[in-house]
Amino acid sequence: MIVFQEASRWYGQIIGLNDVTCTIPTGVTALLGLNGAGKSTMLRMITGQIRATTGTVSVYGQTPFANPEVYKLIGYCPEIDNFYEHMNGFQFVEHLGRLAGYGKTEARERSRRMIERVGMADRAHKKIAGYSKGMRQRVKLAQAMIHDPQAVLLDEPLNGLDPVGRREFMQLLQTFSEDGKTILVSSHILFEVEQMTSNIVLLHRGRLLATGNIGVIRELIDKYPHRIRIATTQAREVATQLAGLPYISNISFERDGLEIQTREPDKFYDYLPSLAVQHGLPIDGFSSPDNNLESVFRYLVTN
Amino acid sequence: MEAYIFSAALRDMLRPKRLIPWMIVVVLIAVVGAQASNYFEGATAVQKYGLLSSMFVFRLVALASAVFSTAVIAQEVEQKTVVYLLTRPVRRWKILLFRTLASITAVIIICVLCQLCFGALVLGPSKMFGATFLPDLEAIVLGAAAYGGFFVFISLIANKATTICLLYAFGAETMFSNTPGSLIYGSIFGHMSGLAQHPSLPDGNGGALKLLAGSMGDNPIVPSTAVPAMILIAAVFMGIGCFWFSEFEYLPREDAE
Repeated sequence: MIVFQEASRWYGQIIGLNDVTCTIPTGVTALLGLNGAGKSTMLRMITGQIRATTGTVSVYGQTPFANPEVYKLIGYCPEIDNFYEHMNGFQFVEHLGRLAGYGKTEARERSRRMIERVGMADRAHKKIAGYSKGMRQRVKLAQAMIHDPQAVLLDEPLNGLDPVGRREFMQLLQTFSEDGKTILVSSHILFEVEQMTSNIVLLHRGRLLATGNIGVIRELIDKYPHRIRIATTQAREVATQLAGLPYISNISFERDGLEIQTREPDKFYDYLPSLAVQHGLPIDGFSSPDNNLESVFRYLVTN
Repeated sequence: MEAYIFSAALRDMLRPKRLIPWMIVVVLIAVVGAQASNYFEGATAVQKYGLLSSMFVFRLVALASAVFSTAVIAQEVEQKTVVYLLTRPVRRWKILLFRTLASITAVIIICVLCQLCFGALVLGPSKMFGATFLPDLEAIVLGAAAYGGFFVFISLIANKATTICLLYAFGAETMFSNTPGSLIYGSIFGHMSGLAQHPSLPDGNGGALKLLAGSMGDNPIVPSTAVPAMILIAAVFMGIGCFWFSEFEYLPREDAE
């Protein structure tokens, strides 16, 4: 469990993180925000590279700054694309395994396992200098996981990866999360994060905007009605039925159906089946354009 | 763990890509030293060796220390790989201490090789292990430790540490060593010379080379002062460095958001 308690971090006169209080639970959590939002600062505070200027950060009950006990529990995959370029992937992972306290044999065995797990077994003995971006990300992940940590922190791990690489990397993270680890992934690419998790920590200009399940967060934004698109060939009939409902605030027609706005989406979803069953209206499909991170982010950041 | 930090750092510092340029410097120093020794009339071989050794070999200790001390942490910060070191379950002071010891060892290896080549060419293989050998060796080892501790600390607290260290070693120290008075006590080079006790050239010999060798003035430092002084310098700066590295943050500047 990672806990921030009124934590702030200043870089001279610039604020990196502003009075953040939140808890990072087990499972995959996405740390979201635009560039400069404070994501890397937050990760550096968790990994004990920097201290909170005010407030506290606690990782499994301990203060992380320069604390080896914390480093036994966490693995960190930094955003930087810098390595000991003269080493090959295996040597790099093994070297950091040795620095994690393992003997030569143990470090080698763990490196072999991790390299295999991240899908680098056939390329591990090539010089890192010749690696592609995707290969470098995998090697970074392997070094972060070599000591089997309880929590893994990944700073913008999908940056620079091609679509295939991103999908593979996300699948890889999913397998780690299935092992019961806490995985905190920072990103500014909302679409990708959405495919990994629904649990988010949203930062903007150093401030914590929202934390928790994206759906729940969306419901909390009651300032904006929830939009739901209904695909139907009988849009007028469906609109007639919906117009009388007290929780529908707006109905607009679209090319292949209609879009409604409601402040009580749960009630609407309860009612929706009856449109088809009781009134015999054809419902070809429905979707909520608001139920994605992009819109949550837009609502929270721009307002 | 500690042994691994030390050996991994030493391997890195002495990998061929880094070592070969130093070997070229070592050979060059020996050859230039041998040539230069032909120009002193009326001086004994040991006197010539003394002046040239102070000028070349002892200066190489400072040069190599300035370069290798930045490889301890400053280079890792610059290359941003320091994050891998700082997020390992090992105390920061141990990382610094054992990497510093590795850099000192690397400097000693290079400088002793230089001393051997230099001695072989200037004094000849039969005389190189004479009375000057052990005091010079001791001066190189303790000088490397003192420079190493001091320069690593400089690299922890300042940007462009190599430049600062070289300015100290080749600017301030040359001035201290050639200035009458007690300034020489603030010079590691002065302590190395005091420990080695090289014989002076006959009057009128050496000229400007004496300036470079730091032997224009009398050196009041004696071995019984030089040894504890250099040990103290090494220990104090390594201690402060370990404290500093454990307490302060090390992030590449541009990474600050």
